[in-house]
Amino acid sequence: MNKLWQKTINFIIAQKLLFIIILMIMVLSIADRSFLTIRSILSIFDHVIINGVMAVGMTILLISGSFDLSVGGVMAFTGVVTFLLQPYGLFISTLCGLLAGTFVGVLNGLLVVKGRINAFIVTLGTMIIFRGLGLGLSDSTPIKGRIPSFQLLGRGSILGIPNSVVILIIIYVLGWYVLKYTKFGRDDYAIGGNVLSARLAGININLNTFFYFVFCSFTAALAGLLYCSRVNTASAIFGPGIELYIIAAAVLGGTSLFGGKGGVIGTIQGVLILGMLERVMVIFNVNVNYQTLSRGLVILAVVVTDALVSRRERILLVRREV
Amino acid sequence: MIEVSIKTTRIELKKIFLRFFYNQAMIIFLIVLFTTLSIASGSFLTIDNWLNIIRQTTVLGIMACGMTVVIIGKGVDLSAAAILALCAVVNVMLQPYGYPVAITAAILTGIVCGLVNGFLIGKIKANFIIVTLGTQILFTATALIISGGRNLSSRPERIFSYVGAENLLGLPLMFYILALSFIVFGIILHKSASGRRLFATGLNDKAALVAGINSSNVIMGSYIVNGFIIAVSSIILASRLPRIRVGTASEYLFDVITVVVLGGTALSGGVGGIYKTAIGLLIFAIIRNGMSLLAIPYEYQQAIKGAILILAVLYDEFNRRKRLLY
Amino acid sequence: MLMPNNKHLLKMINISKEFPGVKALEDVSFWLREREVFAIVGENGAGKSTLIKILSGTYGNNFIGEIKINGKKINITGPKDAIELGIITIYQETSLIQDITVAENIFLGRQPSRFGRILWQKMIDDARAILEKLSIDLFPDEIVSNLSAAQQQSVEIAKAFSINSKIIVMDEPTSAITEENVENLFRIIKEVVKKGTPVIYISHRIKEIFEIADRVMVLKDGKIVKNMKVSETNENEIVKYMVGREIGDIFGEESYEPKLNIVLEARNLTRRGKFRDISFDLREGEILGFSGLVGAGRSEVIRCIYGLDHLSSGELYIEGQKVTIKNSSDAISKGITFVSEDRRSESIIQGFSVMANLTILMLRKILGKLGLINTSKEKKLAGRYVEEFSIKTPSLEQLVINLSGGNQQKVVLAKSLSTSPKILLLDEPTKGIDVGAKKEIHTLIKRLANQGIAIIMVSSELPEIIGMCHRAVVMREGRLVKIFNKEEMSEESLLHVAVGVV
Repeated sequence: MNKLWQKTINFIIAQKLLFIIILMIMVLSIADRSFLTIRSILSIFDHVIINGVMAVGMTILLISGSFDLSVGGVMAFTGVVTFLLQPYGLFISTLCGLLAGTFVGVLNGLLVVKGRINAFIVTLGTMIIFRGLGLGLSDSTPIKGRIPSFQLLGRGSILGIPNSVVILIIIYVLGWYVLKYTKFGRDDYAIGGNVLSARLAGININLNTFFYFVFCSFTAALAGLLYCSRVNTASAIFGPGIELYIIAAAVLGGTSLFGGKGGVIGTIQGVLILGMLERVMVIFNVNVNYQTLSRGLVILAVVVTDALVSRRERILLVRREV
Repeated sequence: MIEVSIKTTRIELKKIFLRFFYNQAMIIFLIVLFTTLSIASGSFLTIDNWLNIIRQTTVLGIMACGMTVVIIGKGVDLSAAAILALCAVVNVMLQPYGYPVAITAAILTGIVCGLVNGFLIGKIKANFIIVTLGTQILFTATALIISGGRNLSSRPERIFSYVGAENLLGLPLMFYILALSFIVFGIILHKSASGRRLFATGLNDKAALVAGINSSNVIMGSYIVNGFIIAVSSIILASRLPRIRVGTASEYLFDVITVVVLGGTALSGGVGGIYKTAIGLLIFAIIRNGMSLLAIPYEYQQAIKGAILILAVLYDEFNRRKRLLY
Repeated sequence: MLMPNNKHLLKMINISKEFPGVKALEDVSFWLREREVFAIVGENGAGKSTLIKILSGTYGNNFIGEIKINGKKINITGPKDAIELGIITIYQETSLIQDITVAENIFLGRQPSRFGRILWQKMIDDARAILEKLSIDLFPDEIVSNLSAAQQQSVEIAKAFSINSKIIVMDEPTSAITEENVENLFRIIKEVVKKGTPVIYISHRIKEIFEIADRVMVLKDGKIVKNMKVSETNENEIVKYMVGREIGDIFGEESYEPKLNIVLEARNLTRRGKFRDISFDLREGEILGFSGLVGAGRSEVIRCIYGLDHLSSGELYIEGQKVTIKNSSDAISKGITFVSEDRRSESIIQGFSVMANLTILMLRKILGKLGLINTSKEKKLAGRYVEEFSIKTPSLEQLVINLSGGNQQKVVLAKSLSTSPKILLLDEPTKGIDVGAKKEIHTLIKRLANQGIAIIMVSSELPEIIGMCHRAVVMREGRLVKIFNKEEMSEESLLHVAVGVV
């Protein structure tokens, strides 16, 4: 009987995030009678989906030991480019927007890998550049969508499931698959874990890192498309500060800022938890500024914990058994 | 034998010349910039224009002093703009209680913010990028909460409009405050024991530790000093603008970092100085002024600024590698 | 033991390597046969690690001599070449990726895959096969971070074995594992060798050589002393080959007698995992040597005394008063100063000038009015040290990294003395310094002792211990084994205690 208890407790500790989620769902459904309706669940999903899509790319990049601060800018920039090109047709505008956003990732990748500038400066710089460009191209005013069918992306549904959810699931499965079943993904852990060993093992660090940056911007671009299609507007100031939120969600989900570990399963849980936290604050009618405040506190708490935990683990690595 | 020694001398001379050139590249660039703009725009060399430049860059310049300190310690304070906003808000909201109260409160706020950053980064050793991004959100939110999100109007009393507008010897008073900050920080950074310790910590914190320097305290101190000086600049800001809105501050962050990096203080820590930052400020101010004189749309200015930052960093990287090649 | 056949798999011929001021290896040749364990022993500085670095490709082509594998000359430009040629080196620091499985580490970078899709089951099965082949008792799907150091080491061996390896080189493999696990390690090594991959085993634990190796080569000061079958020698003989030099006169002629009063007492100093129950006294004007093999815990002890690391238990008394030292500034204020073994990252501040390095510990003394640094005071003070210590530098403003190793060390010494300490802790003070500078530094150290400073000197060079020290502490595996008096000191006797051969 004891063993069963032990096993259960171990399982709970291992799946702590899942339990937090379940707990939160219970709390929320008590606090808000209408919580368990499809509509209200979907309203959480709004946030969660956009953030979730972006977080996949960020997770993969974080595992390799880098990070990307430009994702918010990419999201906005993609939207602006797409909507500006809408007169040329749905397909062309969407494709170009996606390419434009992904291009930022190409730029990031090149500057970090070839230019050997640290990721912080590069992505900070590209964030500013592309937000600025977005502002310039849109004349600092939001652009209204002109093609109704574009909204299907964000608002439509297949067999009752919203398209955006479908896309989220696809991206997650893709991310999960890449991280678990492809060389490209597994090498990610090696690069983040011990770059010297990775190099000696023949892993092409530059090439891999480059593509991690590209993919991160790609998911940001995709998220931008989703968001703009939902609200049928594109604005260069969308998603301010979202990059931090995404990073926090990933770190909460078990991906360390120091690289070498993590995964998308944890990330989606992190995104869910943060999303539900927002919902909790809305339900309890918390002042929007206090919401921002607590968001900041959560981020700090997550990061500090990661620092304390990871540091201890890394010190233990060097310990010897005398 | 003589052949060889002539050749070596020539190579030596070449090396010296190149090194000199790279070190002075910024100044040369400044001269080029100056000349180009004077030709491109008739109003560049006017007194009015320059007074304008001074007024616009005082706050930036003072903040750059503090950021220089943090960066030399191998860190960056991304919450700088948020601290600016928070201190300005505190200042304005307490003005009805009298100036001394408002100013003291603002300064205390800045110090407390710096303390939070310094503690998390210096003592707990969490990642400074994420921490300061997090505190940025924290401080901004606090500013919004305190101000209720409204636009606050600052009612500078006579003393402070003095600072904002009055001139001394033809130059606005704030220019002297800016100059004073540079001088004071220059002295602290390059001439005080703490400054020396800061450089040591930024260059090699392991060796600094062995040398008895408490690097956590040094780093914590750098963030506190930064918080303090941001508070000072917020007072100038409040006295300049009739209206304070939390949003106004966010631009400053990026500009401040650009100024410091442009001046030659490396983000890798331990290298740099106030005088370099001063040059960086000058270059930045001229470029910004030039862009508005040439009527470049605001949004593109932002894009250009981002490109400048990246170029400045590339240049610094390039320089650093050259330096190591000896 | 095992039956090596006579085919020469690896031949290293006339290998020489020089660093500025020191000949690390001179004309070393040996060959390796299939199915044998070949041990290389020698003191620290004998050239073992240089030889290994050459073989593993760390120095690329920068050496003199030839390396032949199976009779063919090979060309190594970097570590990757070495690995491709089948020379796998396992170092003391773990090279595994912590958060992934054993199987993935074994197949790092070469996971079995089809069209980019990793064949997990195959990888796990293949890994299991390798582990079983080597009788390693581990699950291939275990996450590496859950394994102990010894277990991680066996994964490294499995990894090395599975990569097309022709030769496995192990550098001090037992330094990080407990005794019970050593038996296991040897068992695995024997399996590896049985399967056809010879092992080069570097160690200075002589007892182990007799358990695991077939042949052994003794290096001393970069040269081969003897190359023989293990069965034809014994521990004592090996120790004798490892030492036996002319002590030489690089230690300065004067000898100073220490005073009688005790300056520092250490009682039962313990740091979990590093050393236990270290007790000794230090007298005014005495030079106390700390001898022992690398990894014995000597540096760790003095770093704890200086406050860089924490003691788990134990007491320190300075001039009779009990003290607690929590960090380096505590130590400095109590009159202790420290020179690290790692000059580049711990002793000098690379971006600083000579002058700034010299004054970093005495900032208070160069302050002028208003508490600001007075440049002329700084220059004068720094200049005095430069003269006193004969530091060769073109100017005070010269960056310290441009100085030679010996002069850098003089700067470091001068700096550490600027606090007027009572106790000087030196960790390998003449490592990596040419002979001429060594003599200068030795003379300096003796002069300091004569002035009354109590000195602890950690050194891996036995002649240095004998030539410089009044007494010597010998540590082994974290314990203090014996304290030698001057009369008792000889290279052989010191080494005997250090390796545990009685």
